[in-house]
Amino acid sequence: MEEEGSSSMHARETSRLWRAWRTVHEMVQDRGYELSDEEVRVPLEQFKREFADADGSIMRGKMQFSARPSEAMIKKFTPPPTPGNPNPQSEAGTIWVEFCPEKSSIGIGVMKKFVQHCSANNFKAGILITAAPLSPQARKVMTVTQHYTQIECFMEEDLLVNITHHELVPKHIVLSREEKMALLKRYRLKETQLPRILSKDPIARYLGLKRGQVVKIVRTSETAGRYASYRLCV
Amino acid sequence: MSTAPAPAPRGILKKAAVAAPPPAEPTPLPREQQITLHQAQQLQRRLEEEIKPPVPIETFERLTQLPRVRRPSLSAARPPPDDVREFLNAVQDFLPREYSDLIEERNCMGSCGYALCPRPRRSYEGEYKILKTGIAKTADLNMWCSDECARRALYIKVQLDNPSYIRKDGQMVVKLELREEEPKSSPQKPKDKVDELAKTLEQLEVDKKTQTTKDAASLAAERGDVGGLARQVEVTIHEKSDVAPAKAPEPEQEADMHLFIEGHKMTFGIDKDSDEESDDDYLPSTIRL
Ligand SMILES: [Zn+2]
Repeated sequence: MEEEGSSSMHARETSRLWRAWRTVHEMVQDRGYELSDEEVRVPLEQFKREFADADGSIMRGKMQFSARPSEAMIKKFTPPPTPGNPNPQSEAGTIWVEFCPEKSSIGIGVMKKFVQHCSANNFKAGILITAAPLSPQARKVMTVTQHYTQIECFMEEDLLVNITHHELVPKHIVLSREEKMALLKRYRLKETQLPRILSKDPIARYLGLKRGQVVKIVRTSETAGRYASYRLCV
Repeated sequence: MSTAPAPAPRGILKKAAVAAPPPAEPTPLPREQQITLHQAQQLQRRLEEEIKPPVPIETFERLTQLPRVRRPSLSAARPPPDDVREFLNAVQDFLPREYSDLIEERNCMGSCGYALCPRPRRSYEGEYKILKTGIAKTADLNMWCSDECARRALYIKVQLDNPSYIRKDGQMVVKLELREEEPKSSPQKPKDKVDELAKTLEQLEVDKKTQTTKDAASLAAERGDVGGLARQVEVTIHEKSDVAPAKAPEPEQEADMHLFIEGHKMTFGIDKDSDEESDDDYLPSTIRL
């Protein structure tokens, strides 16, 4: 009886973690990092083989990966050259993704360790996926270090479903800086005149939108066909 | 409209006969008043400083590691003085929210939320826990190692929530003190456990009493009783002499019995006349305004 209970619990947790693992891969791929479809669409059996230990529980500590930005992404996030800076560096760099084995809430210590790991290995961005919420001070560590490494945190339960796959969620495309300038010029707008999207909006979090970036939203409508709208991330 | 023309329009302004005296030179306040004013201004400034610089993360890290000295003779009730000083000095600058953050941060490490306690926090499972005193959320219980520590920690929190300021090195700081424990004997001598327990229980009892008096006082203040507790009324409860066994309530009309649901009679679906009759019973025949 007991064993049965624990094994079904393992199975449920395995399935949860597998789904989160797939979603985070899809997310990283959608952001423009280089991941092959085999890496993204891992079947459950393969996932178990890789991360389950002898008694069937998943070792979160092993669930980690890094990904390099694609050429297109590097180009998209390279600011336009200026006389002062003729060869600007791309803002896109390697991303590090890690599942946190900590089960109780995440404190300063865990967060600092993650940030240090990212900066020591020259990762430009890091995503920490946790089973429990962050403490307020751990959240602060995350924002304080934002200038050096772009740190994001997701909870496992946020990633059980890929929200962008929902049919009612329209396609969101992040604009590069040049595309944004062109848009504002074409419509003679100030950026504050654009409609907004909150940076904590689930879609904004999925895409890793930063403040000031503009996202293009393509909707299809039976009456109007395809039409685009734009939102400024605030 | 047609009135006799007035000799001259009279100004509604007061006559400027009494010219305002030239602004007097501000007379220098006496020294004591100057000091008081200065202090008041400083206090005012402090209160206005709502955007206080946040407590650095390092401070939180430091305080999550307390107590530094861990010996069997030391406990949350008898914390090492150095730790006490460090704790109070740091927490003086805390906002209540930051103090809550500290508790949470310690909980993340598995420690008791009270910063001077060396013990791990409780780890009850489930959402609620049944206690002798009632039902409590396990999340609230799991913040501490014991109820005593919860009291100690909350004692600090209350002082941060309703701060009183004292002067220290020319600055106004929040007055903070630890909750009083049983009188300290020499820390080297290990105490008799039973004795200690008895004292703790005694302490608890005292707390309960002071709490009830406090509650009563605040209730009285809320009601506007000026006399407070002084005006307490002696209440004596007398037992009734003839006590018959209690009877269940019964509907009066036997005929209607089947129409009653939990003592209430349904009125719809019954013929009009009886309906109106019953209405008449409840409504006054005329309404006068
Ligand atoms: Zn404790």
